[in-house]
Amino acid sequence: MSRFRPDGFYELLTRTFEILEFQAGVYVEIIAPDLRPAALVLLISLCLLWITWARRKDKDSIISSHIKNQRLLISILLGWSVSWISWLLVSGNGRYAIPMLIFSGPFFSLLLWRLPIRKDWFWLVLTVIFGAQGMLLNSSSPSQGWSMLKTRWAAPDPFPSIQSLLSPFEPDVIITPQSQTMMALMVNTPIAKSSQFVALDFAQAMGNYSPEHSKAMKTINQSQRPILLDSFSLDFALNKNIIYNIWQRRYENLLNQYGLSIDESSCRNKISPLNVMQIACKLTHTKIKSTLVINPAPQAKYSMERLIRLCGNSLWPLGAKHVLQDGSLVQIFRESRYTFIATIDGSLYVRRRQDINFELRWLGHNDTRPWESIQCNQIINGGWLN
Amino acid sequence: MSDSENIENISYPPLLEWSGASAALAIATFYWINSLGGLSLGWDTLNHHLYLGWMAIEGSRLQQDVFAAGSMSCQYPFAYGPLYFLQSHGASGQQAAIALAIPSIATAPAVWLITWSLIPQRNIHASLARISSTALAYLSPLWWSLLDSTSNDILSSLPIIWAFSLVIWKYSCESQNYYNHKNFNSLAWTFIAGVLATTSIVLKMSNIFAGLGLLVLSLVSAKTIYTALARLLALALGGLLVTFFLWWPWAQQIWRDCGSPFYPMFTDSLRPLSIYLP
Repeated sequence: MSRFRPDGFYELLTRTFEILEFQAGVYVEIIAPDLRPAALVLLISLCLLWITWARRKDKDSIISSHIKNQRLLISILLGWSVSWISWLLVSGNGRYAIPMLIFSGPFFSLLLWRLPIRKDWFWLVLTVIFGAQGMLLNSSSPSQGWSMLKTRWAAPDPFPSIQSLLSPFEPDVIITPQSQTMMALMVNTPIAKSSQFVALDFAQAMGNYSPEHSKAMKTINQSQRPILLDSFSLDFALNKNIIYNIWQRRYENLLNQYGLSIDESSCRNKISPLNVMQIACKLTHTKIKSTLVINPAPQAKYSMERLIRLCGNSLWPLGAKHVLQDGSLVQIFRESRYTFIATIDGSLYVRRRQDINFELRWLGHNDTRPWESIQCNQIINGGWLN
Repeated sequence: MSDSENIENISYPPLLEWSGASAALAIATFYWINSLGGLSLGWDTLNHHLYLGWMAIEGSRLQQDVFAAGSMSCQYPFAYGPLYFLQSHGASGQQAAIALAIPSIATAPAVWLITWSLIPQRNIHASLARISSTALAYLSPLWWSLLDSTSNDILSSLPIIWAFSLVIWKYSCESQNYYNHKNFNSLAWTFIAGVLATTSIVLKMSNIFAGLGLLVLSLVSAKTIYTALARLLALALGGLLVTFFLWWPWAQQIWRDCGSPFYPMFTDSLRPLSIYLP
């Protein structure tokens, strides 16, 4: 619930206005600029200033004294503000603020209505807000915002059963190796009803010590006829044969860690009407070939713990962690907003969600600068090594 | 003529305007959905929306599967039941989009009622102001984009939007009648708001932020400390009722199988306690 949460007080103040930006990932995954919360916050602030000024000058209250429920209006605006601020502090994800976003427009105009201004001013301001917000709405093209496939759900059955692909295997455990498991393709099929599913990527990402990992291990060890099932969209693949060849080698290392091996001769594939490639292969139990490194290197562990102590709530919530083969420690923070790697010499690398590469932020025991003088923001946002 | 001379009895909203505003949103919504020619399929649709709907209707698979849809496997699944029902009963994408848009249309009367509660005058100016205010609520790219998705954000928000609407309306009535020296008891409505708000929070935990706002609104608008306490009690009773009957049966399961009733939060501290579950 926190991938869009502001970093620090400054971002907390400015985020309401940044929501106007025409780019994805500001306060919601898609492009959805919104003027209304900023307009409401500005109007509330102006009213507070006006009330303060009026009281000092012994003027009438700003809110029309003819209406008897000023207290209710103030309570409504206070309630909205508390909701908005708590949402910014803890989450910041626009989808989680639907009621506040819905109310921001009406509360703005209702407050404006109550101001002791001429009604033509009310209509002028409201027209400007309508025009500006309408332009934002039109420019942001809200259709297809969430789509990850070129094909839309138009025909009655968008997910034809993959029963025919899987039934020859008669699986008891179906292992899906990627984080987006595409379970939609399998729901309510006879095969799915009689099988267990294991999301292997998720279990591994939760870390070697995690109950999720142990549960996956236990299920795999007890399986008689496990199969691997992978599904991915071909919308953006140039050549499906190349994709297929890459795929064959893609999960060998991961599966080896769980004592499984792909029986390549058994692999079958099918392309669904949604242009999704589905590949299923029989898995055989083998000796665990690659050694699973369980404990991080001492310097890596120390460095990561020190970072978490330094940053505290700025990195909350802590996500999954796992140990790389060389003993480096990978830790995910704030729903993947930041991924940190602490290497075996204690160096710290960070990758923000929108970036491709990791950037070095701390040189470990080779760094001559005192850790005590460093601030969390410098580690997260850079500038320290410049 | 001053505003006070025009104020109507808030308890009786003009039904024609109310239904007109709601119908206008319904028309706009259906027009928009029709223009899309189907429903978007996002990663979340493919990963967990239908899987959760399947569990909602066919029964939990938490003991059988190992986090089949990753961490999302442990979400409260029942808001996805309609989506799965539509898909499994052969609905086209467009039919599904229309059916799933009904909760969004059902928010319009609630939003309009808020505007009536705060501009309760029967003249053309006030009427236009109410309709404009209601329209401004829906000028959001996020809102219209969510109508083209299978997510439960709008459906789960519906009860809490109504909770706000009912308390604002009833507190307005109470306020008006208070000054007219009539006692109007809004506690029953506060209880209903508690039920609705908690239902939203159960369907989607992120509605807790709006829930906080509702709590502040209910308490701060009370004219005496006793009224505030009575409202707090009414909200709490409504919340407890929903928590016990709607949330707890599922929460028990995910506590046992995923490690926390609020999965993935608090797993480290709550997982050891799962052995004490009945």
